[in-house]
Amino acid sequence: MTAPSEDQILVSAALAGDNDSFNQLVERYQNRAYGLCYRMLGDADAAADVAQDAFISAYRHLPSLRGEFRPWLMRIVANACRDVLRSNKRHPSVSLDTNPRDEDESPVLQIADTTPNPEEHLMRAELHRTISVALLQIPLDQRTVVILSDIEGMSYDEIAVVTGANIGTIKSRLNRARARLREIFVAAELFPTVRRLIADEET
Amino acid sequence: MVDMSTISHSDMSLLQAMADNELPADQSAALRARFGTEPMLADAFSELAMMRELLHDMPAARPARSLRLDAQTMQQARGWRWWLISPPGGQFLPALGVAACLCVALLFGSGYDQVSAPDQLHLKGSVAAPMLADAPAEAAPADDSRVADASVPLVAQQPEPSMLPLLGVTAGLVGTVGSARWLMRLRKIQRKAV
Repeated sequence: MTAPSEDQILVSAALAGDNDSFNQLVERYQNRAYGLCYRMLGDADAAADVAQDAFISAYRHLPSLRGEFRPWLMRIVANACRDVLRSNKRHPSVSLDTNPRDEDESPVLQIADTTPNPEEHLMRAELHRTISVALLQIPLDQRTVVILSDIEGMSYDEIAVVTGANIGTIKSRLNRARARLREIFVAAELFPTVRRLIADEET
Repeated sequence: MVDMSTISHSDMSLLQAMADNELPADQSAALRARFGTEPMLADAFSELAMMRELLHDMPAARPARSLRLDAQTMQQARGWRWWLISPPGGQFLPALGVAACLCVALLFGSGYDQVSAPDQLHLKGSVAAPMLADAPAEAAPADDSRVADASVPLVAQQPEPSMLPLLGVTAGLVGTVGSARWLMRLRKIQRKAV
């Protein structure tokens, strides 16, 4: 018998009535949950609300949890985002015309700035903004798998649990999502920017 | 820039699986061996890896506020599943089960004779009619007179009197065992938490 993971211990404690244990789980996964919502919805306020609702829903259904907490939670979060997008017909709220400096100062997206070079800083900010907008331009199912795989770093098996789709479907969605993103990146001339950034880093 | 149309769908799937670290080592080595002779594959892989890295290096999005739940929200969120694993007064369930068992046994055992006596039956005409299907139409009173024909074997449709206490005990036992299992599961969860 394998030892229970820290998540399982916290879940058991929460089920036994310890509210603080559940809040420890919230703190552990709130950035991931919010990140998924933000990437899927493209709206910081809506993302926080949906992530909060997802945690409430997770707490409500905690007694029915079987298996690992993380993929189960992310499934609830992904479903909550899908519900919001479908019911509100929400459209991307991030525009390519947005001033990159405004985006840069956003408290939500804290861009890791390891270089003092302002030009490079701006290039990175523009790059990340373009990618965020590109993500919002691909279909919802493809967006979900590409966020879970490439941003959250989940394996195909974990994505299968989160999305409820089989591995073949996930591979196919990833393939199409990346092909679509590549088209957008090429159109936005992103690859030369990236190569330049990599070259700058190497020198 | 790589022309992706020149790469077959199966090769593209292999490249993607390799970029995602989902390709078995032997297949991965075989694919890498092809990079020397098929530079297009190498370029496509390089571009795929770059895209993956770009997405992976996206800055972390953090909520502007904590998403912790307060006690009131948690209390409101508790649904019927919560009630199942931690019912109010759960520690008394086995005792309640035994009491229910005794009550059911006493109820069925002691009260049966009175209920089943044909001359004590009080059936309305509308209820009695289907049961008296073989009797002549005039036998069923038109008004709400309450006399049922004693010749109709109503008692035969009831279980044997001696079976009823047994049924009561069985129902009570099932209830007790169910309650005990429920409580054991709750205790198990609590032990795990400790």
